[in-house]
Amino acid sequence: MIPIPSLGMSPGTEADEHEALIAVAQDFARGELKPRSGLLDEQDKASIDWCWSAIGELGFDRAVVPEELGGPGIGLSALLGTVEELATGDAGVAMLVLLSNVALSSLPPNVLVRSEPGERWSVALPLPSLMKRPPHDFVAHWPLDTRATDDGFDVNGELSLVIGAAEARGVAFLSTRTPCALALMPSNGELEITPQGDQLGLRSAVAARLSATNLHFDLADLEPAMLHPLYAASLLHFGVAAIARGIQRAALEMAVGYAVSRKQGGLTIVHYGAVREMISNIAVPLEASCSCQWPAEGGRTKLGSPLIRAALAAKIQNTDDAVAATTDAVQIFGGAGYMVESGIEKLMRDAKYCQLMPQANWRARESLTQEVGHPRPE
Amino acid sequence: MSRVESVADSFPRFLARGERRRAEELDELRIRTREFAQQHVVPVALETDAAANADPTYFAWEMVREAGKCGMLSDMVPKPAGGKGGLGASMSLMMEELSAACPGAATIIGAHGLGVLPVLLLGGPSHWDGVLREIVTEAESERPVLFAAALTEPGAGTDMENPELVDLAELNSRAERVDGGYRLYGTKRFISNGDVAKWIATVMPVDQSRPSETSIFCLVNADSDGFSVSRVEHKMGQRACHAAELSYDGVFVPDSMVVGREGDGFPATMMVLTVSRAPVGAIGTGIARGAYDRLLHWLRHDGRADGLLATQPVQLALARMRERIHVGRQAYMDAAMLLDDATMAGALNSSSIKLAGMMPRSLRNSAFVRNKFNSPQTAQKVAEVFSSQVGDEAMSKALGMSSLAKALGGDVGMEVTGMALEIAGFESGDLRPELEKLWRDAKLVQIFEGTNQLNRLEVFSTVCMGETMSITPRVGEVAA
Repeated sequence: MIPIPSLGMSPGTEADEHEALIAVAQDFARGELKPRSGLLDEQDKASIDWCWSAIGELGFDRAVVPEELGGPGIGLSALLGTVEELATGDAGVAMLVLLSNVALSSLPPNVLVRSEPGERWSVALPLPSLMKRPPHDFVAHWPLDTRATDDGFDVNGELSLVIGAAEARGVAFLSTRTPCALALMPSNGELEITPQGDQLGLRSAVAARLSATNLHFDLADLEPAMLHPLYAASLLHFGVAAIARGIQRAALEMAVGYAVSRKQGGLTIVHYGAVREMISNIAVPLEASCSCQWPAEGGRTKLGSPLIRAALAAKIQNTDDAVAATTDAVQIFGGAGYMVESGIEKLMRDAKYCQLMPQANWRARESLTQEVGHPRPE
Repeated sequence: MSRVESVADSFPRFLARGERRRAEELDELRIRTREFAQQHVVPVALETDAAANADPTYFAWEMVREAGKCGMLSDMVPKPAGGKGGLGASMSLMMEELSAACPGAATIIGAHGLGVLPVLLLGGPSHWDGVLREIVTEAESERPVLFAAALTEPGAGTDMENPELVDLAELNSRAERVDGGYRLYGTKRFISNGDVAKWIATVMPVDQSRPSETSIFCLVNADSDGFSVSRVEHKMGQRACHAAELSYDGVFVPDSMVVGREGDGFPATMMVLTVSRAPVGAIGTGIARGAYDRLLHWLRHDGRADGLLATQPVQLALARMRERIHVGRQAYMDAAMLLDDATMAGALNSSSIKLAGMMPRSLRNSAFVRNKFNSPQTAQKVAEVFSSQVGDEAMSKALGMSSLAKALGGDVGMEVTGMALEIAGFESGDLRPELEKLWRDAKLVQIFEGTNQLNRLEVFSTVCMGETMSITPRVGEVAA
């Protein structure tokens, strides 16, 4: 059990570097992820391991780790752009990259320096309690029980379907009970990770059940990090929003490609108003928005309600758009779209899971309302 | 599962119209179907889905056998042929109940009904004691007799279901007139029950440039020479029911297995879709109800849901789900009752049909009567009954309402399952895979039986504009 102190955020990536990074991610998505999307959806271990190894060679697995700690040290906007591009190839792999980077950004330096390139990390966020603040106590069941003791707190319980946790080196468990982030690793006997592959979407980010029994944390060992879990939570929400946008882009490309080639009634179906309407339903949210950017001010990001609100809103809007877009995309394909072979129904399943990650959109709306109604200090 | 609501509770119209007795008859069917679903469908739904995901050819024959024993397969068979003589309302109620348990299982029965419909509508008494009675007699056998309807082709999906598009369609199939019958060539795709049915009701044109005027509907026995199953698809959902690609390489079909006349094929297709869309709307509504019932049970009884039921967002969502289910139900029952009571009643209760029904079976099966029933004159007579008792105008109205019910039901299914999944989330134990399955299953309802977009264009034409489509058999033409 390693306590996690607050960590300074990486400086921004220059514009040229950002563009080059996005181009690399785009090439990788098109050339390596897209052709493997069927196998990745089947949770083929060899394919997942190969992709992760290639991700590691590109440095995406630990992209936000500062240079002084041995990482590429890219900015958070660049990370968001990267996962959006990767999601156009396979949203599950994009999610693995996001989770690892969010977790690594939470680890203390002495843990980070010991982590190896190629390791995967996942994140567990007790978001109902993370966002819960008086006077609106949102009553929600959080299955991982954290009970205060005289000198710290105990953690017991199970978390189901933690996306990307199977074969993870560890899980960054973010808590606000005492604001801190904990790196829980099975190798230390702190955590039992049991793969649970029966997930609907993001299937290459194989989920697992986490079990903790009587883990004890001493307050004296923990550095207060009131703001840090909020950074990580916000980054995770922005990242899911970026992945959802990548899924929408993939859906648009596939739907248009099909609509200009499939004929009915002697005409390509793009000629029919009903199909054009669906294409515009997919395209409008993409054209009206832009890729997710990490909000920064003079090189420093201020924590507080504006950041959290922006993250929640982006995640809610983009994931709802992605589900609507992919549902229409499958519809454009007709009967063929319902078959696994088409590759389009997978996008719908991936989008649906983005609506539920890291918290379901209806909960995110509740959290957003709280932030709007009771802004927290910056 | 929640307590079985009475039909009168679900459909207030029955009380308003003083049709308590009819409501009670339908109640009996609903209760029987729900008991069957609870006993034989729910326990195997997830495992069947998983098995068919691993191997798309996996088929739950045991469940279908039980369905046969409970009369699910023969509900639509006319009473003179040993069935219950049910049509829109009873089929729709069955579909809602079965879909709440497993939409794939419902579609097996629904697709079977789809294959029976052409025989029912245009076949006349000639098939009562043949293929239709076989459904009844084989219901409890090792392999119950299933039907399928083969409409869609690789190059023609929506085309096959629209009078304005069918003559422009790129059809690969054709029927060639030969001595004593037809030879069939071509491929049909995404055919529900296609690889497990004994009888495949197939529509093919004699003249590919004029399918609307020259198509035939015929019954192909799956054992026929030249008939084969090319593939069984790996589907997103509703995996219990197969979607197969069928290949016809000179398959011979005798005249006695042609339903109606040459040229009745496309009108029969439209009539089949008119009758079947309300039950498909019921599938969507049933999926929604299945998700709602499961979610409400979890919210009430599972510790993981502690406190959620007390929150207004969840309360509002449940109310919205219930509202959508109610609206979906009214739409499909409106359409089903319009069909049963107004549109089809005249045709199915015509004096000639009644007379044939009153004949002893031994007389119906005599060579003289069978030849009479199989003659072109009888096929012509059936077309005339439809023209005089039903007509394009009434059929178009019925098509509009059933298309409305189907499109609405499809959207209700997607909306409610999506909401239910969001509320349940990842920490919902055994509920999550059940809701995920229903969500995957729901999508197909927006696509098959005509995409929702096609359905709504037909609503526009027939309901908004009051147009009459040409969808009943033409009279005054020389029978084949």
